[in-house]
Amino acid sequence: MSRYVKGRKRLALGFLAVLAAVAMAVVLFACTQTPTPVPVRTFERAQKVDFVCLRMTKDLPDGTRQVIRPEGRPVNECTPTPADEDGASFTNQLFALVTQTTRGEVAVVNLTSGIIIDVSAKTPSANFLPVGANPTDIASAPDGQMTFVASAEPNKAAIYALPSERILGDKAAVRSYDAAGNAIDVPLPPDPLGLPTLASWPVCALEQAPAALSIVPRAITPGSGDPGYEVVAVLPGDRLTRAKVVTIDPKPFLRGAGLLPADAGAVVAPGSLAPCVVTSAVELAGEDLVPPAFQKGPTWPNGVPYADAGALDLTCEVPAHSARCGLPPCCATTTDGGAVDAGACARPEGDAGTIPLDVGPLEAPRVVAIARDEQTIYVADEAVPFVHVLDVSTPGAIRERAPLLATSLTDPSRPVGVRALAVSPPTRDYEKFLYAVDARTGSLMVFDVSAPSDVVRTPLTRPFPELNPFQSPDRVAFNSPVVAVEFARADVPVTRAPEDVTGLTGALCNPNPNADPNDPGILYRANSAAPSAAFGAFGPRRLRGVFAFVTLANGTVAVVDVDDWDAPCRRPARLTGAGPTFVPPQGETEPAYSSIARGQTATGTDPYSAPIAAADSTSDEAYFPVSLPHRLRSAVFLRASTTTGKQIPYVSTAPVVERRGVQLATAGNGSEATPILEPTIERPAEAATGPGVRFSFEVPDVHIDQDWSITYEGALPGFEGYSGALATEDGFESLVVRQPGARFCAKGVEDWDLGRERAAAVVSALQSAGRRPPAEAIDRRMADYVQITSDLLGPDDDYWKIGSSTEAGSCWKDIEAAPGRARYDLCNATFGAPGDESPGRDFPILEAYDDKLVLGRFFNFQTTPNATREVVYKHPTNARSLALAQCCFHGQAKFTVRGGGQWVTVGSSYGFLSHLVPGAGGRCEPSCDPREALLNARAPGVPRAATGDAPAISRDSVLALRNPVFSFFVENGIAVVPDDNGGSRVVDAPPLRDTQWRFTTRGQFQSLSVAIGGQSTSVSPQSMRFIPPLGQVAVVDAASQGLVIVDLRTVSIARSPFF
Amino acid sequence: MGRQGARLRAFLAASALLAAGAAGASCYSQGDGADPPLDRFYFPVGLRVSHGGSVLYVANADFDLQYNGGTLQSYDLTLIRRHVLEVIKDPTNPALPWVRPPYPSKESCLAGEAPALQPNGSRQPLGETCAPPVRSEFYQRDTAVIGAFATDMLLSEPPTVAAPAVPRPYDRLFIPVRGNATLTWGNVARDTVDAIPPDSRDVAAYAPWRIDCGQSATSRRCDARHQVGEDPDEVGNTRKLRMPGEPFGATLSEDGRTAVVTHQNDTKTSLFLTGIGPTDTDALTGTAEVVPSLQFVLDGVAVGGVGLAAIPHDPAAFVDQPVPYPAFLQTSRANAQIELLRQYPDEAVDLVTLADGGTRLPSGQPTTPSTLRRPFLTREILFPITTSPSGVDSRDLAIDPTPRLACKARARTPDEVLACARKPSRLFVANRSPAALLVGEVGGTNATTGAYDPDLVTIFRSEPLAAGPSRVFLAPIVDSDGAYALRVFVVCFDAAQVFVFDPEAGRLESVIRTGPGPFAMAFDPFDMAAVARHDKVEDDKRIAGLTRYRFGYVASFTQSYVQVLDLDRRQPSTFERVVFTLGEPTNPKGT
Repeated sequence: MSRYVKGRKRLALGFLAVLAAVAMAVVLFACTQTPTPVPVRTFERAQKVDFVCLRMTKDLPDGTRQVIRPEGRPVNECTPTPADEDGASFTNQLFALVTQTTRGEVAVVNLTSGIIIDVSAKTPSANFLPVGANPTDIASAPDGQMTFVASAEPNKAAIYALPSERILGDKAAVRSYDAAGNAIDVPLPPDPLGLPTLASWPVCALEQAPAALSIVPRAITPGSGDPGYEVVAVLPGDRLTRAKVVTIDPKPFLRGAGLLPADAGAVVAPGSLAPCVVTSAVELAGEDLVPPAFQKGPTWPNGVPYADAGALDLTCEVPAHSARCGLPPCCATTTDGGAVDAGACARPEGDAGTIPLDVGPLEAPRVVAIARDEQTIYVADEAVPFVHVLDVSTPGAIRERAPLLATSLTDPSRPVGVRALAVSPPTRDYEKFLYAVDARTGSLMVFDVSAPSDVVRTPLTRPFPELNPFQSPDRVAFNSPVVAVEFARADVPVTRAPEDVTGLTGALCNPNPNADPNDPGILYRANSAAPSAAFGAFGPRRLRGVFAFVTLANGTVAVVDVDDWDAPCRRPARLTGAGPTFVPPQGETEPAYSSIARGQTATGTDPYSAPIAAADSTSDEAYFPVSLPHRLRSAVFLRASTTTGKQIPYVSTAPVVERRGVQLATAGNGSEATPILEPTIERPAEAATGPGVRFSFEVPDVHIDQDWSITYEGALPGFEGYSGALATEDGFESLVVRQPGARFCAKGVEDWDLGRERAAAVVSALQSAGRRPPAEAIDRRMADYVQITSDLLGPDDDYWKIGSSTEAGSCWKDIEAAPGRARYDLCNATFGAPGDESPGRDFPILEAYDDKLVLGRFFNFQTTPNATREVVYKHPTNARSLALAQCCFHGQAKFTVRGGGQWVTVGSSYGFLSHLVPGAGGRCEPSCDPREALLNARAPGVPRAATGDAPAISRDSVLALRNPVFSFFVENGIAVVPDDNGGSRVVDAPPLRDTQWRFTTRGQFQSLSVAIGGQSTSVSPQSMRFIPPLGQVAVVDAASQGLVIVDLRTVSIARSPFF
Repeated sequence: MGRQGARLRAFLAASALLAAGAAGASCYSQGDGADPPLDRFYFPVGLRVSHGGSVLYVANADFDLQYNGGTLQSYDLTLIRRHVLEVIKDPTNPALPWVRPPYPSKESCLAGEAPALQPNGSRQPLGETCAPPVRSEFYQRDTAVIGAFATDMLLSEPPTVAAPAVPRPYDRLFIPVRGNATLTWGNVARDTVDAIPPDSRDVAAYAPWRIDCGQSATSRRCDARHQVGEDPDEVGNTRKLRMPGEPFGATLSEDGRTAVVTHQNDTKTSLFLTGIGPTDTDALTGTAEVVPSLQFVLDGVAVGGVGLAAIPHDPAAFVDQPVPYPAFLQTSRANAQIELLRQYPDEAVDLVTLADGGTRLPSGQPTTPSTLRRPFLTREILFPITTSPSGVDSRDLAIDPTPRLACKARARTPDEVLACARKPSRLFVANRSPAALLVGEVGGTNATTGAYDPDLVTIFRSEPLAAGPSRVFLAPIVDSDGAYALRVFVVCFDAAQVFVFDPEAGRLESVIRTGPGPFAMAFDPFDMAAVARHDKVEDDKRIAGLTRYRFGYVASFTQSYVQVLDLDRRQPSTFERVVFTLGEPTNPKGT
């Protein structure tokens, strides 16, 4: 074969290979999907974790160490592994036991040395401890001798007891070092009973599958062999068996495991599945005890725990209410009658009265989780809205106390199930809080459980809920459902001298310039030189106090402030606009107190009696309080800094104004006709500057980065995709658009009545402000209107051929168009294409209901859409226009709703804010719930003042828009027109439809959190547990991350996950 | 070049054909090739049990295009169930039509200690130790040929409103077929629990065995009338539409009058009239059969539409207001969201529902309709999935109305009935990123308005699963007291496992390991209201020693066979285990 032939053949084969590859690629692309990569893991659906401390060596008299069979010890006898030490050599080592639900096993992880334990050297891959199928919970005894595992295996519900001495199998070792410093792994002495199997464990049978376990400590009677605890098992209840909580005697397990003499009582022999020895049991209260009504819970602390709390006055940080709500304005400082939207102060704070709890028929209790606080057990119920409270202080006699009632203020008729819970350690004020996870919303309820009570308690409520109406008033909500919650108390103790090893804990940071020099709180100030490297820099990541760690379903662990001991120093340096900039320390020249705002006293030394803080003692952030109990903790200082940049809300670039893609002039020729976006004034008054908005600095977590548009007669979002049925109930004097799914009230549709009310308030406010009156009759213009957006059917569609022109009730009746093309032509001439935006497609909303709109027509609608036009109410002259609308769009049409004669504000995240609700008969009307007072998105066009000295407009004025994020008002442009005398005059120039201001806000709130999966999306967190001796939190992930350890000192992943 | 050149030319031609075929017609059969096997499974994707429990209908996909089409088959389920019982009693019964002779001892299987190794030392295939495969041909009764790449199969519900004047004597099967982008359908005679199939293999001996899709006696291929969506001029298609490609998921509306079909590579969802409904007379116009027809193609849904489910609406929940129009939830592979679609009748006024389930115009409206009454779909709202970092790649979903049904069964007063009727349904979604069963609710109070919203979706929980969850099925087990108890069966294709979730306890019950590539499941017939009430399962009068409900059926897509699961908790040694293997496990060609 010649080289030429060979070459051609290679070429052909190459071509064929490419062709075949292309063909196969096309086939594969078309017919298959890329298989999901499945990471290789030794963990399979890990779910729960607990910890055991094991002693691995003992010191011999000759000064050497001997490796021994593992011996369980209390967890606090294990210590963290310093970064520069080898934990594998420690005498006491801490182990995590993690349930594996797919395989019915318990994985053992050595947290001290950082390895997963393979319990069998002979079997390939990592081997774990076998237990019953579907393990649901795990709990280790306080003495470290035994770990109990609940198994929900079908037909074999049981509790397995794993003696600590047998959990390491035959492969574990302790590291030692020879004289030369070489590491030697010394294996543990062999287990005399061999490798553990399923039959190795003492196991007892339960009457139903257990859901959760806990351990309750007991007094030890000397000589009795009491281990000092009982096992508490939650039996969830099912169709055939009532939910119960039982206490189980652990001694039979210990006897079965050989840890107690077997001749002293009942024995649970290994593998026997004998009935568990239940020492007490209680069937949990059910539907019968659900009260018919409840009281709104008290508000939780507002973060300013002292009466003389500085100059902060939050009481007037809300707008005035609507007159329709029947109560007078709460703040006397508003410059006019208040915004028509506002509902604030309609119901005084804390006076919610009795709220009916009409939850309908309930199922039997179904309990799923447990939390213990000393001798009190809290049990979460998914079916009955209770957190059951059980007093277990008397062995053998569990007593159920009054439950915590899980309620929802936003939906009182919803039976609230609870899925997980945790109890906090006591705060500095000896308060304890229970966090309960609302099973449906995945948010947290906060209960005050500081003291036992026989009174039903409801969730605490948020102070000043109107400032962040996106949060439920009685919940702490997140962007993903809460899976698990855990509390931790942490501190960085102050040591004043090298020999002081214990240090002081619990000191509040004290920025007060008058503070006692011996107050340790001074050492925690922002400018304090850290006493040691471990002290941690002052800032969001230094956790001192009580914090909640909340694991979300999306794999995020978020930090929630409960009792932040640095909180007094997280604040602006000055809490008042006036006064000295520096207050000398005590003993020096006293400041001029007369110039300091109310709240501070000459003798006050506590952390909160300091309107003006000692120099550089605070974080000088923009908010106060920065750290509020039960609120997400910020990851950054909330301030604008030259080093860290802007970490407070701001407009990223200058707002722009345009109309349908054409930018409008804001300076120079033609700019006088351009409406101007202006921030409202601060209180006390200051000059307004524009264009721009004034941000609200009341609560940081309300701010989300987003794009905003403020559009004159803009479209209200939320109607895309909806088609409304067009019909008449009065012979086409009006036309009804019916769309039950549209929820017009919730989407903020205002009708003619509300528009007239708003218009009257605007006219009155303009008069008070000394401004020109509106150029048009806004009381006949300020109503939302429907714009039909459907295409007409094609000219050849069969539709045009049907329907009688003479039959009563037919929309074609009396319309002079014969069936067929003539009808299409008539409709096309009347309505045109949607893109043309013919004014004939606009229909004012006379009445707005939640499921329908009653439409009239505009007078003079043939003129341009932005020209003055007025609403025609129900009237016989409407018949032809409205009948045509029904006929031409074959009885159903897509539509949008536009705000009539006003600016419409839409945020890309928050959307169009409104607080309309269905009232009597379903008619849309403003809510009187004060919490919704700031849900506003409409602003009138404000005619410019005739003179330059008109009062500035405050954010609570009806002429302004105030929402939770910012406030502004929009001044109309002006035009010069000829007057009657041959001269000219300046007149108000209302904007044209679709004139739009656009801007972007940045500097959103960033919560302090950790992503347990890093960049991975293969995360499914299941549970979490605080490890006190390590100052770490363990999170169990069932997807790919296994066991993740979060360090509280750095608020970051402590080490590579174990999986 | 000689022989080498000829080979080269042949290879070139074959490759060109392959490339042209791949580029032009994607991966679908153009009608060439051998006829598909009529008496065995071949990539089964759809299983349905007849309402009487006597017939197992199977849709086969011909996924590797070995043949010129897929098949639609019927199997004698009465005989299968009888033999399942015999295998459980004696896995060595010589009378059964074994593919491989059984070797284990009867005692070891009954004791649950069956050996994992065969006598020759090789590993016993999973699930076959006490259930060696039997020949599926022995049970097959009828087969029709359909297009390749079927994806699912639906079976119409029996009428809920009696109208005995003109009874509809049949039920209807619907199969989305990707190969020719049709909704293929066929009629099957209605099977009832009282009917006793004969001991015969003749398809004519028992009417429900026969599948009628207009197939010829020779080719067995369904005719064009039974493959709707292809022809814009087909009867009832007044909008002159053609169904988009890649139909995948499908569901029937609550009243059965419409079918909705997703398209996995497109942003479209199709709406069909099924030609049948909740009354016996829906299927007939006079004496003529009403055939299914394409009505509307909705554009703008998320690409990668897969799962669909109709939202159950309880009329008792709506006081002084109309019952909402039919609504559907649709999942997507691409977006972390669930979309709410709603079907409208294209009429200007709300129709009045009659006692027999029919409708009429309200009084005062013109008798001449002003529209063509062409139903259409709208896309109303998106519900984001926030229960995982990704949330994309959602597959099948199921809506469980039993909390409402159970509550209503206990309700005594009108107020209680109203409260029960508004009880949310449970929602279960199979999601692959990460592998999880998303748990939520449908229906509740709108937080903004405070009003009852029957279509509000809340997803609040994520239960971890094994790799590749694909399908979600709601079906009961027989509980320890002999009563129905609902379970959620989640099929994990990649992991070859079926997860059994107890929705009332809110926890996983067990994991069943199946053959490779499980996909479709079916169950003995049951009534969801009876399941909600936890009624006792009745005895099957046709088979001594068997209850009317006991078994589940799972098809191995990859190895083309069907496994039978025992769902009777009173049988501890076989509960939620494979007890029967129908057909020989066969790996795809080339593997």
